[in-house]
Amino acid sequence: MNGKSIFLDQDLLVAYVDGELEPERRAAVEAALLHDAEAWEAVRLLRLSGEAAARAFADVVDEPVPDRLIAAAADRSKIADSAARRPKVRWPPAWWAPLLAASLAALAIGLGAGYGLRGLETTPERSSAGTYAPAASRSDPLAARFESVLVAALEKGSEGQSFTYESQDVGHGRVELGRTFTTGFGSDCREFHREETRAGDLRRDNGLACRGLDRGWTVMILPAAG
Amino acid sequence: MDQAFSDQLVELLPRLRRFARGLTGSREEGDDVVQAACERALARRDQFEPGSRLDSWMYRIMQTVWIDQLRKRRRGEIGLDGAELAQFADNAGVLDPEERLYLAEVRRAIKRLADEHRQVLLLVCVEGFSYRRAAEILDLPLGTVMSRLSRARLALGRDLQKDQRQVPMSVSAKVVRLKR
Repeated sequence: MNGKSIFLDQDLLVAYVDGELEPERRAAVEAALLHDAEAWEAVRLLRLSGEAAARAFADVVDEPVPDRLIAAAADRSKIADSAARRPKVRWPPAWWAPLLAASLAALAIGLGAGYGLRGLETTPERSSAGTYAPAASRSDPLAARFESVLVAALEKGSEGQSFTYESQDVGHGRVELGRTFTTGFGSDCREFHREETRAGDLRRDNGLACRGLDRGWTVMILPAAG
Repeated sequence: MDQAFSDQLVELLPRLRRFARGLTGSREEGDDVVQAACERALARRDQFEPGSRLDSWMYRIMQTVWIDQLRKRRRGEIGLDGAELAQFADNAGVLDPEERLYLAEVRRAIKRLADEHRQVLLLVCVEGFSYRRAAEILDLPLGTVMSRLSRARLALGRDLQKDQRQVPMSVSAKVVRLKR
């Protein structure tokens, strides 16, 4: 050992383990460690405990955030106010809906996978036809709540009316009904807008629901632009 | 502006919950701390300096809320809540059973640390803050953060090592122990 060797106290060692030292000090610690078995043991413990602590709580960030916390952070009351003052929900251009409705089947089958278009059928008979089944709702309580609220809204709601839904510990959402119209070939359709907060993430979608011959609804949902 | 503030707060929630879970050792109490901290943050929104880091500010509020709650309870009254600590992170199937047992033991050992040691440990090792930012959040000198951190880490490391010797980590070894 030549010259002065630095004193390896535990504060220096923890900074070394955590990469908090300047390169020069780091090199000095490394050199001193070669002659100090006790310090080596401390380094091992410091590493072990730091890694263990990180792993012990890593999963928490993947848990769904409880609704009460989202409500507290989002300051729900104030947002409701500003939403009321905001102009009407933006809807896609007028040509969008009839076009979509007219080629509903083609879109559902042809573009479903490629463009992230999501649809669901509200009648079990038709879901067996293979176009779309609300598979998500079976394992996803929030999606199930959305679907039942949506069907009720489509059946009974009036234009501009909104409906909320939520599932404990998963999230919450709101459906607002838009225009009602009849397509060229006589199908009744309704537009709607959905805002859903899931695990803290807010998503906005526009949807179109058209009534089939069997009175069930075929629903298409597209992410809202902006 | 308000909307953006709230959005950022909502975005931080998973991390804040993780920190609070470690501080309190319980899901319920941790979420109570997060909720109280959010309410406090929104009430004092004007005190937040735009351009500074919202996460640092929130962690600071979190730890003051937690300290307030500790004082109210006059310490000591808080149970170990061992059962909950053992099972809360049950992303079942993701971790093997041994790892789950081990991590439950790690959480119990962290719970046994002194409050001010646990705080620093969580900020640096779990939340990944640099020493400097941890010192800012806790409003402590850098040297104090380092000495608390090293003491916390050595104590935890020794604790875990002791447990490892007592509780063999392989299933077959455990069976042998039970037979005796």
